[in-house]
Amino acid sequence: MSKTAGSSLIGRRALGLLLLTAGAAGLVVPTWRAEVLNRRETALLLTVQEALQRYHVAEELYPKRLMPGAELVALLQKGEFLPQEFLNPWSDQPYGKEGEDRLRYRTDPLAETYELIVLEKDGTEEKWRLDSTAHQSLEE
Amino acid sequence: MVYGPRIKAGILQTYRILVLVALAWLVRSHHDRLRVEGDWPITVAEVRTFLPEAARLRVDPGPRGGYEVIGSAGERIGYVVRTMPQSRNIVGYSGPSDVLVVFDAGDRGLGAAIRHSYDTPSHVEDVRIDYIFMESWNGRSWDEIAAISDQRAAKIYAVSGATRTSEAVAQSVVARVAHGTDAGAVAPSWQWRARDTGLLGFLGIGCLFAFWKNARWQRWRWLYSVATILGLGLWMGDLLAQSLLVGWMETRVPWSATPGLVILVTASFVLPWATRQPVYCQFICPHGNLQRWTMKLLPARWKRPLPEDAKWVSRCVPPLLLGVVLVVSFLRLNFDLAGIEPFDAYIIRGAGLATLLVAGIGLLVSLWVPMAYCKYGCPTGWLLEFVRRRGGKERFSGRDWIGVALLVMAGGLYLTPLSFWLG
Repeated sequence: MSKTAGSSLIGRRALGLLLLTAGAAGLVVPTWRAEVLNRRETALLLTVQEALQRYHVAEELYPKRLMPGAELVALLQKGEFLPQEFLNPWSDQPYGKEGEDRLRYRTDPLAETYELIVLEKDGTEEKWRLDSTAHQSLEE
Repeated sequence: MVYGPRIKAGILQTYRILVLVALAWLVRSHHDRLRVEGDWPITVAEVRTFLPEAARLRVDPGPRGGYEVIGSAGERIGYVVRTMPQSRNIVGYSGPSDVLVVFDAGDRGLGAAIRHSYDTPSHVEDVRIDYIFMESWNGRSWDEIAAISDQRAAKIYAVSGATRTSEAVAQSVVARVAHGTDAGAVAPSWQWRARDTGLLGFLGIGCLFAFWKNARWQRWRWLYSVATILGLGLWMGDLLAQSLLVGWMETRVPWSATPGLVILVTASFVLPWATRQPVYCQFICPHGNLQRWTMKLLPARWKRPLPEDAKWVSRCVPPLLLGVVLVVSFLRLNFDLAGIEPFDAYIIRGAGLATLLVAGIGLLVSLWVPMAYCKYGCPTGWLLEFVRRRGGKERFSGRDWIGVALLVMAGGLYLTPLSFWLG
């Protein structure tokens, strides 16, 4: 086999192998990214939950009205229950009014309980939930 | 007599089976560790508060599901558990608590500490600093703690001002320890059913076709082939697959629940390893047999042999899929491994779209390229072929190097913390 034919053979095989590897990576990358996001979302929930508990100790009630994540985070940061540099897991930027925000906070009329909910991407269904009654922990 | 080639072949065969055993051990050990660690693994630093001489922790995959505390000389100096997640339903004022419980080498309580709590922080703090309460388990044996049913009778008194939180902490410790007692574990009962006899029958007849080359017997092979497709495949749905093998490695081999299937799987690896005969792939596998029928549908002149380059590249598919299997298992990704193989398609009602596509496309291609899926697509078949003894001069081939690569990959995934990959 000539040198040129040999290198062209190696080139074709290398290209084929590269395409196959890309295909194999394509199989796992979407689920890997979803798992990374899951872990970030659960970390966010647990940190905000802990901050809410500290807020409750200080104020004797939970924040009194329904609010989106950015507003809740700002409130907890103002009271120094959360660090000022707090990352939004969906935008990877500091939590603020900009960027996607799937965190929701609810309470009862007397502000004695809380619900922290992370919505699915389409915003309709609950993905994660932590509350003060039935879902205090995310551990299975 | 020349012993050299025999010894070389023996070493190679030992190496091949050891690669499989090592892969299985790494997957099992990784999942045991993740099960015991949960979301917040115990650290040596936490344990040193009670056992200053603690050097490292060793995962105990047994029913207690904790860690053995190891001293600097490698000796077992204690045992440690956390109460979560087993106690997640024991709620104090507003949530459950994760408590660390440390035992000495004689399994007597040394101390407890609240690691993390979902309960109201002020109440948790009251409990945390009440040393009399937090030392309630000191000096008691594992079994004594597990047997506590009445806290007051056991002289464990709630903390004033944090009654519900402290009671929940005490209940969590008792519940967690009781969860790990031998008495609490239910020994699985041995079950041998008609299904197991059926599987053994398929294995036995497959072996007869593989090893007994009597011409009068062999002419019935077509009937056995149809029986495997209809019986083993479509009726029983018991095919060797990555999803099955990985599931067993991650949890436990179901010796007592499905002994027939365990024997079939074991024999499928041991027979080619010991005898060179690929009994499962060539005789028993329903999908292989179905391909043998489909490849007869078109006349030979219509067959299209693959170019050499395409063959070389296609042969890389099974090892790459095995790499995917390792990544999915080690990173616990939400990925259905049944979808990379056609075998679940035989369970028609439960089959997913991916498995149906792999089965359909594989069969379609096998019309032109005989046994295309077996040769170029099957990761399970690749594993069975990997351990198979070869005839003639044995040497360390490309296949064996791929075994090394898979082992290195599994070792790397095992040694790297999950947080490195998943954040």
